[in-house]
Amino acid sequence: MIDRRTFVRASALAALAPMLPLRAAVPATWPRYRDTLAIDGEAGLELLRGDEVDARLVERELAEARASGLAAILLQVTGVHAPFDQAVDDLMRCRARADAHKDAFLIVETAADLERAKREGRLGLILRFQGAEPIGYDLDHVATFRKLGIRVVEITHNMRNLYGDGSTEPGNAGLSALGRQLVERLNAERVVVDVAHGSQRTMKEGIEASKAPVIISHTGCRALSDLPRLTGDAELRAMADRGGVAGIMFWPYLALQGQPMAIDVIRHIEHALDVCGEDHVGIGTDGSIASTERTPAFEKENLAMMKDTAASGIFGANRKPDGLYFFIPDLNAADRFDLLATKLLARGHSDARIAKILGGNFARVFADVWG
Amino acid sequence: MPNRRDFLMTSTLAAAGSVLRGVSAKPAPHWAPYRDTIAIDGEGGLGLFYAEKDDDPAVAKELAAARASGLSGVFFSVAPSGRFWMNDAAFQKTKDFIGQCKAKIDAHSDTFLQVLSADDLKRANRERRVGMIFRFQGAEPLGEDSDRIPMFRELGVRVIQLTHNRRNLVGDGCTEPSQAGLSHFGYEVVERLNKEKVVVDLAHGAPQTIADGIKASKAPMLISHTGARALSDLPRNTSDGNLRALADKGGVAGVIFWPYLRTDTQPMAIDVIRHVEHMIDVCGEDHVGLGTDSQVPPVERTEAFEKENREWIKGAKEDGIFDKNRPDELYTFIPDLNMANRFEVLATMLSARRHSDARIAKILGGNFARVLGEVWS
Repeated sequence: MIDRRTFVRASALAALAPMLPLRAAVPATWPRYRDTLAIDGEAGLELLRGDEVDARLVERELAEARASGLAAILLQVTGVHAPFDQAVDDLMRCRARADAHKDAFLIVETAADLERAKREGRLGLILRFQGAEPIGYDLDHVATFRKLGIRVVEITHNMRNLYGDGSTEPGNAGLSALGRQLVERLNAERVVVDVAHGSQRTMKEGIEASKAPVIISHTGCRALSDLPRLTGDAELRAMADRGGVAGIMFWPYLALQGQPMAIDVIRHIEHALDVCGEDHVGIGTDGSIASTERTPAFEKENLAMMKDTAASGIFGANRKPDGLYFFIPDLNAADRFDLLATKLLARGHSDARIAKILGGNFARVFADVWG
Repeated sequence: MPNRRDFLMTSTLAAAGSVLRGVSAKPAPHWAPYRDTIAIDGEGGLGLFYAEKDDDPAVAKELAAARASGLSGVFFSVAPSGRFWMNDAAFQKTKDFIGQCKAKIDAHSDTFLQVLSADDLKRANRERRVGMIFRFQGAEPLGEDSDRIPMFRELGVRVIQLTHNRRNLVGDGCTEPSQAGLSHFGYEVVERLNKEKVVVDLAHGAPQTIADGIKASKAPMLISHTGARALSDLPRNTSDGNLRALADKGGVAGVIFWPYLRTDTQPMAIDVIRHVEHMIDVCGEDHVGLGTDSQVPPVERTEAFEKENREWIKGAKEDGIFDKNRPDELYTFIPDLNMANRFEVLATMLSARRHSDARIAKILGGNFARVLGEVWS
């Protein structure tokens, strides 16, 4: 594993050398990583969610999950517009699959579970929805889903739902009356409110409405890359004022043209640090835990997918799809958090600050909210 | 029937005498052209469609009232309004209820017919039957799937109101704090309604949803039951700007018989007339109609009813439907139009106000019939 990973990293760095001003000073690993509660604000594992997962992929994902060194990830357990029944089915299947690999996974329901996951070298799974659709009109479902393990609920995905507007909507609606009741109920039931994917107004009103700290689990800074999916400085500041955390994502949103690289992730982190302070910044990759094997077949499929995605306009007008990826090429390794830490260290950020960004801040909010 | 009706009319008129100064003291009991007028209520209720048994004496009463109404068309809501999640069970329930409504129409075909075309409206008028126009209040039964529009049209749904009072996936209802307009899905739904020849209804919408809906629709649209916000500044009513935009697109707004027509005490017939006349001023006589949102039969105002109604109004005030400073004695009908042939009685009042017979016929249903005919053809 180590060999392959080192190889991937080295080759990626070599190929991208001209784009990587950070390369020279980067040590192999950040000494503190072993003791850091690293948390990815959104990540996926096929073996927990996929329809048909072959044995080879399962083995590979299990190995990479261990190699990630992450204490936990936020894991979306069902489709973005799933109604209640389907969400329950998907959630229970996801739990069953995690239970089948108890040596690799632990479902996180408390702050203590995060510590335990780290201590036992397992990957903690924080179950969540992207879009509150499974709750429907019946806010009693919030308590039901908490019992089933849901610990974070994102209010909207990209589209409008009953509670608010997603970032792609033309109306830029704020929270609906039901949306306000939902936030209130999530607060009461100690479930974390996530406003990622929201329209600017839904984010703003979600932050204002919540009595507990709110996260923006995977986003970027609109000041650097003015796209609706990212977050403006005013909303970042309001989120920080309420004690929340914004996670920087590893998607093409981080740049307006060309594929973002580690340096772009760092630019967004550093801007968020300037706006929010070091207690309110995290990482939410929105990628898979396993590194991507960039085979010719993968590249072909990826380009087709990127053409469709770029054509939808979510990455901005006239965005060229060539060479875009849903990961950061020079962080395409299972231990991408460790790798990013070395780069942050090389930029002169302190160990204490890096630990907060890698997961300490998310862990603080979870402990605050879950109680 | 006439005796009870005449009594009610007289007594309520007497009680409301001071409010009714603007209307001539004794309206003629009948308006001669009514018989040949296609009168359409832009939202009406009939309990018998929900009744499990047809031998209930209340059913016979309702049938008699429906016949006495003289209405040729009634918009009838065939799905729950505004609080309705999109799961498969709810979808199935809606389809089942439409089937049940059709069966009721067939069982009482001497009183009702289902309106699927403009010809059916004429036929209903000719044959003295009440034409039932199936509609939704809120696009919720569509779920996230605009392909359900042709499916529901096949089942007879001819009018789809985009939202009820709350937000749905299409747009914001009038009680929402956010004042959102149409969503992407909302624009898709309007386009598909146009294509499938189903009427777009914007009643209950937030101002921006109404404005966006008028702009987006290529076909004339309705605001089936509303009031003029210029006279009664409540979110459920429609601004002059939106009324004008609606008229410019050939649409029609129906005046509602609910307490929204005033901001203080119970509205009476004179208030209905004030809203009708204001809308005529703003839109012109081709763009105004009536959508009572009341039961077709007159309400029997027993003590039990009054008590229950007061409780209901209190609840509606708590829910913010009506302002909390308003009295508990509010009604979702117009007390001096609380008779089966309320459209005819209102016609006599309009006539007394010197509106022409031709104009009155348009307001009573001619305008609605024009839009329905244009869109359905």
